Amino acid sequence: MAMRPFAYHRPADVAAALALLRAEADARYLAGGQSLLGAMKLGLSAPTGLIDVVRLPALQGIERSAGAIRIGAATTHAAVARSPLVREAIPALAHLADQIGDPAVRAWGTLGGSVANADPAACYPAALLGLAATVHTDRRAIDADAFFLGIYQTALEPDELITAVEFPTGARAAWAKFKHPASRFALVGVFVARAAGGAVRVAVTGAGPCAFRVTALEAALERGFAAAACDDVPIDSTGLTSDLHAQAAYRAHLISVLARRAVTEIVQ
Amino acid sequence: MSAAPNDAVGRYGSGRAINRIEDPLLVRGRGAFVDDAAEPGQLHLSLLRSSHAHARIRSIDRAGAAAMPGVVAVLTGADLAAAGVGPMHAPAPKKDVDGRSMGTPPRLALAIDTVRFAGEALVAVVAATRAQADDARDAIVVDYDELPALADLGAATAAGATQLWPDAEGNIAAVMRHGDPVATAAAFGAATHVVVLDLVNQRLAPTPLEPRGVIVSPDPATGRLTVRMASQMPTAARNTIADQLRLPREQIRVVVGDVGGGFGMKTDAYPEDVVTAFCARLLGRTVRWTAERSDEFLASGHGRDIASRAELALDGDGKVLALRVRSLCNVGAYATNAGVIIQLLIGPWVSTSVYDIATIDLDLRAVLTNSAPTGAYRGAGRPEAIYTIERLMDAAAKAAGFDRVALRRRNLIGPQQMPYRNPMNQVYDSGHFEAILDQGLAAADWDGFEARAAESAARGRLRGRGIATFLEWTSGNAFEERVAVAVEDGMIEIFSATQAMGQGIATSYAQLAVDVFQVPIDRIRIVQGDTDRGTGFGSAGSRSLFTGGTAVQVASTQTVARAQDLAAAHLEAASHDLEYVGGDFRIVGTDRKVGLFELAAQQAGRAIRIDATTSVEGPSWPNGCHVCEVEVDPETGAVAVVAYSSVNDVGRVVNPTIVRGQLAGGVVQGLGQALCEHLVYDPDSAQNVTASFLDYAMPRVDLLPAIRSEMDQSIPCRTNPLGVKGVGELGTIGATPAAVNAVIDALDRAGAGARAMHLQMPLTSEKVWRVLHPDT
Repeated sequence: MAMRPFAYHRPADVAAALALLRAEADARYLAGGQSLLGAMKLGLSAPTGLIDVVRLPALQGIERSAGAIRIGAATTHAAVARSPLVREAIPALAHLADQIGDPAVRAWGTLGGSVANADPAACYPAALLGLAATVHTDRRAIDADAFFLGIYQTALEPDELITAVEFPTGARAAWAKFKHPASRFALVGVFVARAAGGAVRVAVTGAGPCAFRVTALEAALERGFAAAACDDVPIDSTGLTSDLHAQAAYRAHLISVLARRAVTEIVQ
Repeated sequence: MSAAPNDAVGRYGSGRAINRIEDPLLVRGRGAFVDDAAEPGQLHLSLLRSSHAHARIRSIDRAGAAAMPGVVAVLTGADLAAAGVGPMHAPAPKKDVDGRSMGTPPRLALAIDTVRFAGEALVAVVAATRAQADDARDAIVVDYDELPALADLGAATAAGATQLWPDAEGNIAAVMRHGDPVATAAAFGAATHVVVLDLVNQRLAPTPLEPRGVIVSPDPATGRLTVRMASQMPTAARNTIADQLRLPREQIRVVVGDVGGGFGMKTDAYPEDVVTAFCARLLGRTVRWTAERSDEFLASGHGRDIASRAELALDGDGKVLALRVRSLCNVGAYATNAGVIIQLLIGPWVSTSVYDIATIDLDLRAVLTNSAPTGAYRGAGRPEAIYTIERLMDAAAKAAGFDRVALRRRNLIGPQQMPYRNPMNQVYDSGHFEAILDQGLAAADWDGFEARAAESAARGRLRGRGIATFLEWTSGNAFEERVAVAVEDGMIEIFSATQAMGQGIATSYAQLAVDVFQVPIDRIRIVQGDTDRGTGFGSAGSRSLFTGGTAVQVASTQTVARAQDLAAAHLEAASHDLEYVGGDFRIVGTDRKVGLFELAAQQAGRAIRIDATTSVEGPSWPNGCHVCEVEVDPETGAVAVVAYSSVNDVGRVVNPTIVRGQLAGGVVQGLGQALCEHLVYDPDSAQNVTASFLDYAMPRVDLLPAIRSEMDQSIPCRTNPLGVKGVGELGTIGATPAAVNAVIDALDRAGAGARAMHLQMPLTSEKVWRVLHPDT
């Protein structure tokens, strides 16, 4: 299907972006477009206006502060993957970004775009949950735990624009992804992080309507942070995704395997 | 930059791994594909496709669409029928074993009354822009009366299944039986070992990089239509469009530029081509249509889709006594001649492959379902047949305790048996299969496997190796080619009705011409893809080089001979006193000479022209030994191909780089079938649920190891003077069984061999994991 005509806007600042979105009935933010443009080509989405936010000054940059690293929402996956700051502070996050899609997707796709889109199999949501990140928007800060609500559903209000994501540093983390054979999204991906104080977070993407944490695994790993701990926690497949490419039981099994691999990587 | 003429053959001639002459334009983005072309005032076609897999069309309301901006016409199948457009293909005259002709609903360019697969076109909209045409298409309201949909072979052949067509009892469109059932039964009765396998060759989408496209321009003065399209078979497309429009074939000119891959899918004309031509003629305007990827998944020709019960009988020494196969072949909603013959006749020609098996019993049935029609896809019947016999060989070795290489060796046809007539009455002209096997084993370091398996095991991986020794048939059973040569303006132009589609055939032809003309390759211009300049079968069935290349050589030789007579007159010498060297005719032993191009410029019309039609004597039988090694991750079931090597007998090689590219590309597509590709219809709704690359899994480069492809050129083909054999499909045919056998071997070594035997392609990680963990 040919893409339908639309108006393209490139606002100068966040206020202008918000005003444009509010002014047009069926407008969308364009933040790299690696999901949205494909959906438009398939006729699944037909916005009348696209408001390109990737050049907004407020959405740029990677900054490190005491205890956190702040990544502007318009930062591309490729920029995260090669950022010396990210690679030094949270290497697992740089690795995750480097495994998204293909070089073209990484060159155009952005952190904010991925997080706002909340694809059930996107990689970044697992990192946000696993690292207890904070989503900063034009109007507030939202804990990652309260951000992902369902399939393509987030806590964002219709016109709300993500400006940055703040990732706490100091945890040791690893990302294990099993690629979907066709789309190369995560068939299942598991992000494990162990904070300096010993708190463990295990976040999963690709296996449910949106990224989620596995508290039973977290508890087991807090009792003893070793790969074997994962073997003792059966993953209930109830509610997990079953589709053409993997049944829920297989996805549940992959969660165990990938969690164990992530833990092994952290321990080594 | 030109080399000195006397160096030309050495630098550019056949056998040299020169760079492709096509590539300087293609890699700079200067290819001329259909979608690159544009005509002033062109209109755009959009097609409404059926949202149901099987339904009666109660009504079509197009009033809203017709009134929308930019819309020029909205046409239904009834409009085409009223203008005299009939079924696209008359039911095939071919009779089955019971003497029936093929039972199939007639395929119409736009469906009338009934839609029979999801994605079948039923309304055409023509508008000033594609977006306007799409918008209007979306405003059409169709009232459907849904009918039970049969998604697959199981549903179509179940007891009490809905009858899709009155003349296809039990939804069987055609039946063919080959061989001798009585002798086969006797052989099975006397056998020491019998193995039985149920094998599925799943449905695949050919997915060339460039989707289909067509632009049709009418000539206002003559009414002639120029059809610019992506096609492997321009003449067949021309004929179909002409017949559909009830025009003399000369009233259609099909022009083909660059084609971004065909793989069998761009043969003949499709309904979209017919509708576009109809609209252009009706409106007197240029009309164009370009397929979206979803159009291709929904409505272009699919490949494979056959389920077989295959049995092999062996004596105590491992000598195969007989082969018995029962296959159900899903040909989709409309049985086409190609779709049926590929599975019921062409595949069976190679069913006994390189093995000396005299007794066969094949019972093959084409089954109608509510799915897109199947047709040619790289290999076309031979991959299915070779997969069957190569899986059987491994299963027999396992069941009877033979070494799988020894078992194959025990049954190979020997070189002293050439020419060899197989039980399908096909004659292999040449082949030394044991020599190829031995080289294949050496190339793969077959005997060094255990050390590699131990190294894999140390990393927690299960390693396996698989082998396929096999042959295939090439030619399309079309042996004649016409070539026109013109020596003019310092160039040698050679027209062939075979068709480039990315395979580098122009380079290969140019090299063959250099052999004869002894001029630098930049003096040769290969022209294809214009039915006004020449007609023929086109390119399919790996036939181009051995039929078209032979014709190029013969026509070139005739051109030099004709020029030599002209040179003799020019030099006032006897023709037999002349020699032709490096583009010059010279009186032997003197310095008196005339150049070919100089001579041509002196002729009436300032050119020397030769039009020659050449035939080869029969098909070619390329063959190979392919070895694949895989690692299975026992925790996830993921399969990684870690080594792939092959040795191939493709006869004489004109360009080793192109041949290796054909082999490697074929291997990738064969691995795609083995490991990931699967076009799936929902079993209940018969909707295509893999209609984009988000769900249709193509093989990616990270699936692949370095592919090593070697050629043995010591066994020339005897049916053509070049000694070449077709290579376009060989890799695809060998890779699928080699890879599957390797995965089964890995699982067998892990103690799961019995369950692994029942795996069906594609071997996804979950399927493999479940074999290793049967209780989950």
